[in-house]
Amino acid sequence: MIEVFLAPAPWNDPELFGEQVISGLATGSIYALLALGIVLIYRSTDVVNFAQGEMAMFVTFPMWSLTLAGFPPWTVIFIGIALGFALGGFIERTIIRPVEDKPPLSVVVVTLGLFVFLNSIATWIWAQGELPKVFSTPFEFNSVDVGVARVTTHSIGILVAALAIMGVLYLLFNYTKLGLGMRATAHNPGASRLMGINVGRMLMLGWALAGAVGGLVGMLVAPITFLFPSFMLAVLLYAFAAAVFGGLDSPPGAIVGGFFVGVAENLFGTYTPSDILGPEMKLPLTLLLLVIVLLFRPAGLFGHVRTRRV
Amino acid sequence: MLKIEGIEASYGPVKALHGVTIEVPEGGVVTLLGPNGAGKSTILRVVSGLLRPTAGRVEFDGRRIDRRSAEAIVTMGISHVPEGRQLFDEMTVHENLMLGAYTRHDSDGIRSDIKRLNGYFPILEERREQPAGSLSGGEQQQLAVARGLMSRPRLLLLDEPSLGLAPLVSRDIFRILRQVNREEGITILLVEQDATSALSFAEYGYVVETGRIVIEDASDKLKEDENVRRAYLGY
Repeated sequence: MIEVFLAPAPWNDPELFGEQVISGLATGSIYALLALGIVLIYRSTDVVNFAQGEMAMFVTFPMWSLTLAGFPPWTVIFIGIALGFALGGFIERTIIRPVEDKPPLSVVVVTLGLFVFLNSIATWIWAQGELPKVFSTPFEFNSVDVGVARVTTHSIGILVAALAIMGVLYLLFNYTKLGLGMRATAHNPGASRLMGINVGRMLMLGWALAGAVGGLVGMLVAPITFLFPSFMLAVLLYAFAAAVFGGLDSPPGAIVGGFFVGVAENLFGTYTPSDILGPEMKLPLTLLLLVIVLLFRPAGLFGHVRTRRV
Repeated sequence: MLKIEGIEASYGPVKALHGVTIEVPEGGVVTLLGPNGAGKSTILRVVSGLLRPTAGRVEFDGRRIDRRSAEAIVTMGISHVPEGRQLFDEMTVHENLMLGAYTRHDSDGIRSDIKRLNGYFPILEERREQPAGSLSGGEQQQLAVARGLMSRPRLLLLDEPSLGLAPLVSRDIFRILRQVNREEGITILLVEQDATSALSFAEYGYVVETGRIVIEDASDKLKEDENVRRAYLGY
C-alpha cells in the first residue's frame, strides 16, 4: 500500500489520532478564549480589536518578571488575570472611548496603533537579553494517559481552565443582572440608557473582561511557544479565524469555532498527503475550510446577519 | 410636576428647538402635536436626558434635571417609551421587562409589578419566553409600554405609541394608557401624530412646529381651533 499520509493513517494508529484530537482541543480552547475576548468587545462596542493578542502579551511579560522575582505560579496567574482586567478597562476608557462614535475605520486604525504601541513598549522593556524567555506553567509538562491517548498535563490544564472560564462567563451573562445589562447594551445601547443602565460602564466592563480572558490566554500559551514580543501573533490569527467562523457576535460561536480551528489545524498538520503537501500547509488548509464555511454562512455558524431597516 | 422652560437644543450644527416652554401637571395627560421633524421627539429626549439642551431648564418636582444623566433621571421617576419602541428584539419578553426594572433592587416588588402589569397586558404573560422581535406590532407596543412602567415611573413619556398600528390595536393601547393614568396616577406626556386620538386622550395640548410652540390650549379648545382643525384634524 502506498503511503498517502505523512503519518500513519488514523485506522493504523488510533493512538496518534486521539493525541492529535485532544491536543487540538487544548490549543482550540486557547483560540476559543481569545476569540471570546474578540467577540465580547465586538458585541459591546462594535470594535474589531486587533490588539487583543498584544494586550495578552502585555500582561504575560510582567508576569514573567513576577515569576523571576519568586512568586508562585498560581499567584502569578491570578495577578495576571487581574492585571488584564485593569488593562482592558483602562484602554477602553482612555483610547477607545474618544473614538467610539467615529467611523469603524478610525477605530480599526486605533486598535492597530495600539497593537504596534504595546508591541514596541514590550520590546523596549522586556526584550533585552536572551529571547525567547521560558514561562513556567502551574500544570507542569507531565505526560498522562487519558485512555485514548497520552497528552501533557499542561494541555489538560488549559482545557479545564478554558471550560471553567466559559462556564463563569455563561453564568455571568445569563443569570446575573450585570450580565443582563451587558447583553442589553450590546444589543441596543440607546434603549439601554433609557432603562437606566450606565452604558459607559458596561462597555468598559466588556473590555475589562476581554482583557482578563486575554491575559489568561497569554500565560497559558507562553509555556508552549516561549515568550517574545510577537508570541501571540499566530494565536491571534487563529482566534480571529475562530471568531469569524463562529460568528463575530456570538460567544458560543467563538467557542465552537475555536475548538474547530484547533482540531482542524492539528489534523491537517498530521494527515496532509505527503507527496503533495507538507505539514506547513496546515494554516492555509484550515483557512480554506473556513472560507468554504463562510461561503454558505456569511455571518459565521452562529452569527446574525445584521439587517438594516429602511 | 414637569416644567420645561425655554429649552433650546441642536443636533450638531442643526438647531432643533428654539426655546420651548411646556408644563405638565401632576396626574395630568398632556400631548405634543405637530408634523414630522417639528422637534416633538427632541423635547422628550431632552427631558429623559438623552440630549443635553444648549439653553433653558427642565424641572421635575422642583428639582433641576437638565444636567443629569439618563440613568439618574430614570431613578428619579421619569420613564421614556421611545419612538419605534426600541425593544431588545433578541431578548425575551421577560428579559425586556426585567431591563425596564434595571434601576430597582426590590426583587419582590419587581415580581409583583410584573404580575400586576400582566393584568393590563395579558398577552405578555403568554409570550413570556419569546424573543421580543417575534411579537406583532401591537404586542411590541404593549411590551414597550409595560417595560416603561417597570421602573415605577411617576411621569411616562410616550413617543408615538400608535405608529404603524391598526386603528383597533391603537385604540386598545390608548384604553390601557388611560387606565394606567387613572388607576396608577401616572402622569403622561404624549407625542402623537394622530391628532384625533391624541386630543381625545389628553386634557391639554401643545402644537409644535419647527422647534417652537405655536399654539397651546385645553384639548377641547384645540379641537375647535380653526388652524388646528385644518392642519391636523383634516376637517
